[in-house]
Amino acid sequence: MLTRRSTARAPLAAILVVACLVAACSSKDEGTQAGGGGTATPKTNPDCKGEPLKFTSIASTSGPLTVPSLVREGRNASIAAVNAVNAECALGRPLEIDICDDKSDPNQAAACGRKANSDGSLALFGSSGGFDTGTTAAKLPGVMTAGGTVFDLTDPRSFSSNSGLTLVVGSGSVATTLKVKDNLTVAVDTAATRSFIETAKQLANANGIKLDTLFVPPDTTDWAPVAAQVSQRKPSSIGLILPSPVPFINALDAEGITPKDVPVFTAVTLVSPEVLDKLGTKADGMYLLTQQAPPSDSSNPGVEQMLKELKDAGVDANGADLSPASTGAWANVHALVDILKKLPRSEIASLDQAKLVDAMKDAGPVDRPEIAPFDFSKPAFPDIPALASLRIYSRDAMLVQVKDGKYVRASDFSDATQPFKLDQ
Amino acid sequence: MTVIVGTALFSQATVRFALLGFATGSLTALVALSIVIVYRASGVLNFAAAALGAVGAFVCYGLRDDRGVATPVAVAAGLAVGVLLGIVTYAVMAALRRSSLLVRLIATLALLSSAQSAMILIWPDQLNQPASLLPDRTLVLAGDIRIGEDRLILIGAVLVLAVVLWAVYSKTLFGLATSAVSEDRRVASIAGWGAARIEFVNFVVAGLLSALAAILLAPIVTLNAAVLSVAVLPALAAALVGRFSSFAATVAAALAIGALQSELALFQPDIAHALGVSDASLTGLPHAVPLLIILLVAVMSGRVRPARGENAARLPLPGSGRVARIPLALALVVAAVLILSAQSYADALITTLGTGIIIASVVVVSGYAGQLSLCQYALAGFGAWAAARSANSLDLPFPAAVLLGIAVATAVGVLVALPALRTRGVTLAIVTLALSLVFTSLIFQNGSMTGGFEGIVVRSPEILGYELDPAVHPQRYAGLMVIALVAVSLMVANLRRGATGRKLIAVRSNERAAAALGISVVGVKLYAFAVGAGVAALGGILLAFRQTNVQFAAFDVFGSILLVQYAVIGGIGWISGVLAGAAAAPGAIAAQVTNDLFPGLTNVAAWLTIFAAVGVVQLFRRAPDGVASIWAESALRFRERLGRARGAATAPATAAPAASEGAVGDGGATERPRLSGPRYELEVRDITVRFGGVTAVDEVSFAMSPGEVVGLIGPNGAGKTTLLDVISGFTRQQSGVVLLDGVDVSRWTPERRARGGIARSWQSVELFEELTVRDNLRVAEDTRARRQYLRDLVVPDRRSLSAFAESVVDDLGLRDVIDERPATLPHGVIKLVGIARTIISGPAVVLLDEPAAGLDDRERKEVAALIRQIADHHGIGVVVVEHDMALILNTCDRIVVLDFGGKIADGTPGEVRSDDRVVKAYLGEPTDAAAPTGSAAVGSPAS
Repeated sequence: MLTRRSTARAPLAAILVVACLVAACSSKDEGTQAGGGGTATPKTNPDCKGEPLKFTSIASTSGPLTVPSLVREGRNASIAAVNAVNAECALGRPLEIDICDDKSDPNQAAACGRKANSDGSLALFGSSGGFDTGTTAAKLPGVMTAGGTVFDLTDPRSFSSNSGLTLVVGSGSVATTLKVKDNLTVAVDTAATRSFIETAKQLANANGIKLDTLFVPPDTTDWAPVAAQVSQRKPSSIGLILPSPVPFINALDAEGITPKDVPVFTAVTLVSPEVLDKLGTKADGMYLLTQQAPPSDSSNPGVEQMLKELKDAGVDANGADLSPASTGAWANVHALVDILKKLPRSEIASLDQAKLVDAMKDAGPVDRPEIAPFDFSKPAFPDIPALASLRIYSRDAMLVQVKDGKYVRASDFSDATQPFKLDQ
Repeated sequence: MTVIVGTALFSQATVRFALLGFATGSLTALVALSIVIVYRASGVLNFAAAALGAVGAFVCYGLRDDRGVATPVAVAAGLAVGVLLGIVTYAVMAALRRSSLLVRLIATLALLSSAQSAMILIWPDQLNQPASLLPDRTLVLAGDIRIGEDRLILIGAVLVLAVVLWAVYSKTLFGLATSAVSEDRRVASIAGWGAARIEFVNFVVAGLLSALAAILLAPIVTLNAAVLSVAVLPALAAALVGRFSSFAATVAAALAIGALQSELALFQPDIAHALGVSDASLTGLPHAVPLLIILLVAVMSGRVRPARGENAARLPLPGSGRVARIPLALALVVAAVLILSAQSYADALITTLGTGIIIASVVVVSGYAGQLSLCQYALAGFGAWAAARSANSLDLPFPAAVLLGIAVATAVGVLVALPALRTRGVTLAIVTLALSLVFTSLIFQNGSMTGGFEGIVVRSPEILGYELDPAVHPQRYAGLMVIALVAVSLMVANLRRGATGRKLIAVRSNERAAAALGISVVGVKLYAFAVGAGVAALGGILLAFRQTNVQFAAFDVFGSILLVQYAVIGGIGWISGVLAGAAAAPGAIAAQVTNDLFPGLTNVAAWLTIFAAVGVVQLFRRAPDGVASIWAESALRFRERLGRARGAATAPATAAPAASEGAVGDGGATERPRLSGPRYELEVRDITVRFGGVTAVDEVSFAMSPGEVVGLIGPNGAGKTTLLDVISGFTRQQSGVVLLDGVDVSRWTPERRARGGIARSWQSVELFEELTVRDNLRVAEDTRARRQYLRDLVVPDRRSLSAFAESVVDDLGLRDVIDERPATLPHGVIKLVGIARTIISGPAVVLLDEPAAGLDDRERKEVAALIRQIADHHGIGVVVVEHDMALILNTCDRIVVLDFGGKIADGTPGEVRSDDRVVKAYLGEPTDAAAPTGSAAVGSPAS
C-alpha cells in the first residue's frame, strides 16, 4: 500500500517541481525587461456614451510564439491611444479594442475569430494573428493590419497600414544608400523569404548593387560555419532575414565582422528589444528598416504625443527604452480614428462592416509623422510584378540605426525602392 | 564580394572549415559519449541525453548571468543538475528494468519531451547566448586559418576524454564490471559486482557528460531548449558508427560528421555548380550528412534476417481487434455531444480525431508489425503535401486530392520501409527518426516546395457540393473526421482479426519463425509501412486541409516523437486506444478542457507534454500495454461478474472434442482427415558450411523419400541444426545443393522454401508470443494469397482451423489450452504447439529440431506417434534432429549420424546402433544391454 502511494506521488512531485521552478524563475521584475515599461491601464470616459465601436486583435500574447516585449509595448501603446481617443470622445462613441490571446494555438485562434465575429467586433485590428484559422473564423474585415499574413496580404477586405515586404524590398536601397558595391543577404530558407528575395535582388541590381543570398536551414544551430562562409565571400554589406539573429551576429563578431566595419542591415521587426538586449554593443551600427519612427525620436511630433499618452495611461517610459513596435500600435489607433473622423457622425453612429470597408477604401492618403504614409486606394507597388497584386499600401520606410543598444532615427521616411537620405 | 565557385580542394579555407567542423563535432562527441556510456551499462539508448544535459546548462547560465553567482559555483550547480537528472533517468530505467528495450527507449523519448517542455516553462527566454566559459579569443593559426580558442580547447578536451574513458572502461575493474553487467546482470551479481550500483554510476557519469556538453554547447548554439535537445541526433549517428560501444570510433565519427558538414557548407556553391542547380536548392545538404550516415551505417551493418538466437525486442501486447460495440456507440454519442456543444470543442475534436488517425498508423506499423517507426508524423505531412500540391496544380476536388495524397504517401511508405528490411528495433527507430528529418529538410522546410509565402493554396473542403470548410463549419468537418476515424479504426481492427493481422504479429514476434511458415517477411513489412503511410496520410491531409493555405511546419521531428508517446498512452497495439492518446496532443480535447478550466494558464501544450510524458512512464510501470488494455481487462472482469451474477454457465467458445490422450495411432486412421498437397523427395548433396575458420557442416549428403522418417543425430556442435538451417534456407552453404523433388532450391529464400513444402520446427520452439495457441496454428494454415492483404482490410478472414488441424490439436492434447497465449503454458506444451504448427502448415517435407526436448514420457510418446502418423498416413517425409535415442530408434526408418560436421553413418536404426564410429562418437558404450526406452538409455549424448 505504501509503495503504491509513493509511486503515485512521484510523478506528481515531478510536475510540482516544474511548477515551482516556473513560479520562481519567471518572476523577473517587468520593469527591468527588454523594452522597458510598466503596464497601461484602460480608462473609460463616462461622458463618451453609446455602443462602443469594437475591434479585435488576435495575437499570440502567450505560448512559444510570443515575443514578450513586443506584446507588452503593443498592448500599452494601444491602451494609451484608445484612452486618449475616448477621453476626447473623438468618434462620438467609445472605441474599444479587444486583444484576444490565441495562446500560439490554431484552435484558440479560431476561438478568438469566432468570438470576434459574435461579440459585435466590426473588424480585426492590427494583428490578425499567426494562424489563418482565426481570420477565417472571424469572417471580418481587417483594418490597419500588419501586412504579413496571407489574410493581410490577399483578403479583399484587408487594409494593411504597413508590411514587412516593403522592408524586404528596401534592402537593396539600403545598400545603395550606404554606397556599397554588393550585398550578401543571409536568409532563413522559407517559402516567404524565397518568394520575395528575388524582388529585392532585382531592385538592387537596378541600382547597380550585386545582391547575393546565402540561405540557411531554419534549424541551423552552429552559426560559426555560416559566419565563416560570409567572411569567405568578403561582402561589402550584409543583409539579414533571420528570425533569431543573435547567434549569427555573435558568430560574425567572432569572425571580426562588426556592423561598424561592414554595414549590416535588416528589418526592425527581426530585431526586437530582447534581441538588442542580448547583443549589447555588438549590434551597434546596424541599420534597421522600419515603417514606424523609433520612440527615441523626440523631434517627431507623433512620438511626442505617444509618449505623453503613454504617461497618461500610467506608463512612464523613456522613449529610448521603447521600440518602433510601440509607435506602430499607437499610430494604428490614431490613424483609424483619423479615417473614421472623416465620416459624418451619423455614419459613425451606424457604422457596420460594409461602411467600415468603404471608409477604408475612400480614406485617401493617410500621412502621420510617426509612421510611413499609406493610401488604401492605391497598391504600393504596381511597378513590381511580384508585389503588385498584394494588399500593400505603404511604399515608404525609414532607417534606424542601433546606437548603444538603442533604436535611433537615421533617416526620414522615403520611397523604399530608392536610396534613403541619411540624417547628418 | 569574391567569386565563391571554385574553392580549391586543399586550401587554407578547407583547413579552417575542417577545424570549425571538428569543434562542432567535439560537442556532438560529448553527447555521443554519454549515450555510449549508458548503452554499454544498460543497453538503453538514451534519446534524452542532450535534453537532460540542457537543463544543466540552463541552471548554470541562469545562476551565473541572472543571479550573479560565481562561474565555478554555477558550473558546479549545472553539472550537479546533470548528475541529478542522470539519477532520475536511472530511476526511470530501473523501474522499467523488466520492460523491453523498446519500452525503455520510448521512456527516454518521454524524458526528452518532458525536459524540453519543462525548460520552455521554467526559462521562457530561449534567445540567450551566454558568454563562453572558455577563453574565446579568435586565434589566427596561419594566413586565413582562424578559429576560436574555445573551440580548439574543446577539440583537445574531447580527444583526451575519449582516451580517459577508453582507459577506464577497458583497463579498470569498473570497466570490466560494466561490461559484465551489460552482458548478464545475474552473472555479474554472482561474481560479486552490484549490478544496480554499477549501472547507477554509469548513469551518473553520463548525466555529468551530457550537462558538460550542453554547458559548453550553449555559448555556441544559444541557450535554447529545442536547439540543445536536437543535438542528440548527430550524436546518435556518431554513437551508431561506434556501435554504441567504441569510444574512439564514436569520437572519430562525431568529429568526421562535424567536419563533413562544415566542408559541405564551404563547397556547397561548387557542388551546386557541378550539379547545375542553384546554390539555394542545396540549403539542407550539410544537415543531411548525419542522416545519411545513420542510414548507410544502419543499412550496411544490418541483416535481412535476424541471426539464430537474436530475439525481437518485445513491444507491448497488441489488442484483439474485436470491435466493442457498446463503447464504440458511447464514444460516438460523446463525440456528437462535443461537436454540437461548442465550436471550440469541435475544433479540439478535429485535432484529436486527426491525430487519432495518425496514431492508428502507428498501431499498424509498430503495434501490429513491430516496426518502431518514428516517421509516421512526417509521412502524414508528406501525404498532406502531396494532396495539397495535386489539389493546387491539378485543381482537384477535395475527395480526389485526399485519395491521391493517400496513394502517393502509400507508395512513399514502401520506400521508407526499405531500411526496415535490414534493420530492426532501436536501430530502426533511429533510422526512421533520420528519415523524418529528411522529410523536414527536403520538403517541409524547403521554400521552393511548399508554395511560397501563402503556403499551398487549396479550395476549402467540400464533398458533392456539401461545404465542409472547417473554419466556417467546424461541426461538419468534425463529423467528417469522426466518419474517417471510425472507418480507419474498423479497417485496422479488421486487419488485426484477419489472416493479415496474424502475419503482421507473427513477423513482429519472430521473423525467422514467420519465414519458416512461408510468410513473406519483406512483404509484410512493406505492407505494414504502406498501409501505415496511407492511414497517416489521411490524418495528415484532414488536419492540414483545415486551412485553405496549407502549411507544413507542424510536421516536424518532435511531432513524430510525441506521436509515439501518444500511441503508447492509448496502447500502441490497440486501435481502441488511439483517442486516449490523441486527446493529449497540442490543441486536442485535453488542451481545450485545460484552457476552459484554467483560462489564465499559458503554454498549455508544454504542460500537457509533461503530463503525457509522466503518464507514459507511469503507464509502462502499471499497464505496459496501454490504457486500452486496462479498459479491455475491466470490461472482461465486468462481463465475468455479470455472467456469474446471472449464474450463466461458461461454456467453451467452440464445441471441443474431448482431449484424447494417446489417441494418435489408436486405430481409425482411415477416418482421419488427410493432408492434401504434393509429397516430395528431399535430397541434400555435398553440403558444406563454414563460419569463419570453423567447418560446421562438411560435405554432407543424404536423401529422404516421401513417407520416410530420417533421424539426424550427433553430439552438440555436430552441425545438425545448421544442416536444418541450410535445408530450410536460413543458412547459406558454401557448396552443395538442396534438392526438393529434384529441383535445386539452394538459392530460394526460406519463405519460398516454406511455400514449396519445407516446414520446420525449432529447437527453441519460437512460437509467436503475442498470439494464442489457436492463432499460432491458424497462421500456419492461413492463405498466402496476396489478395488477402487487401481483403482483410474490409472483411477479415475468419476461417477456423481445418479438420486436420483440429485432429492434431486433439492428438497432442492441446484442446484445453487452445485460447491461451504461449507465455502462460508449460514448456512441454509449448513444444507440442510448435510441432503442431509445423505439421499443419501443409508441408511436403517436415524438419523437426529436437521435438522431444523438455517433454515428459507421455508427451514424447505422443510426438513419436504423430511423427509416424505424418509419415505413414500422410506420406510426408520427416527429418528429426533429436537426442532422445529411444524416440529416434523407435520412430525413424533411417538414421544419419554427424560428428564435427561430417557424416559418419547412414543406415537403419539397427545398422547405426552397431556402427563402431557412432558408438565411439555419440552413443558411447551401452550401460544396459536392454533396448533403450528413454533418452539416456543408450549412452549419453555429448552435452
